[in-house]
Amino acid sequence: MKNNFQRLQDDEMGRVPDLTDTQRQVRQRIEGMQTIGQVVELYLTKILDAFVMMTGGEIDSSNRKQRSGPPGSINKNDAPSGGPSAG
Amino acid sequence: MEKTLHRTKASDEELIAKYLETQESRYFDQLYLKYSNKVFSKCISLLKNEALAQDATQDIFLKIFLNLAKFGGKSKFSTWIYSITYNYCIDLIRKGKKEKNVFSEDIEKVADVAEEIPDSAILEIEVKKLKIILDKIPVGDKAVLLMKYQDDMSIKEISETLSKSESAIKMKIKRAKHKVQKVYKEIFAAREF
Repeated sequence: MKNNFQRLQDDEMGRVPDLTDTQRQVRQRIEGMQTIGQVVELYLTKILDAFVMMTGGEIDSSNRKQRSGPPGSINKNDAPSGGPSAG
Repeated sequence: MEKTLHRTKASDEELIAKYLETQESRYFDQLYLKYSNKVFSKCISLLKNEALAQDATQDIFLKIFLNLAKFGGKSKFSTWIYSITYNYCIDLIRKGKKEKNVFSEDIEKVADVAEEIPDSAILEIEVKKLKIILDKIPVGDKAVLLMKYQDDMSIKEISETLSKSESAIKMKIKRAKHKVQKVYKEIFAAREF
């Protein structure tokens, strides 16, 4: 059985405006962040490799294999040939 | 499993697991629909401004979904959501300097009263009067009373939410009840106490 504090909440909830717009905005912000995360995940290793090469370093190919992007990565040549397990 | 989620009411834990696994918005939508009205009503109750409450609801849900993987299931999901909601609103009030220190050890005139007001005396106040009284007491006091009596949070859960000791929370609730009594007497006369 509800107490009066809970009844007060019910009363206030009856006056809540339509929150579907808020829902849409939250979803868009989450999806936007997920997209940014995926882009970073896909390209960050390549950007880092490019930076290393520009500064005269060498890219460890075995390390590169481990760090390469998830399935569906744009450059198939970079994808690990023997499955996802590292090493 | 998927069919079960649609046909019957899925538990919060099932929805969370499915959302984390698939990132599909339909699971997000179900959790949002279940809790958004309560989160909004808490926000408007503490912030007293509809536009602010809508923005707060949006930020709170973003926070909830970005931290969903951190929900360990130690408490109920609703308790976890409400903790985020109270903390968000209290921080917002602090930042807005509407109230300088929401949970300061306030030196209240009513503070050191020895006797405990029974819960029944607080819970028997009529809904309309209760609303008026809660709007008159400091927001920190209102928040602890809502956590205890509206959300059925334990002293331990409240203390974890507000990062205070359990004894500090007990004292805070005791003082808040005295403030409710005081405001009630001031506005509605003393008959019921």
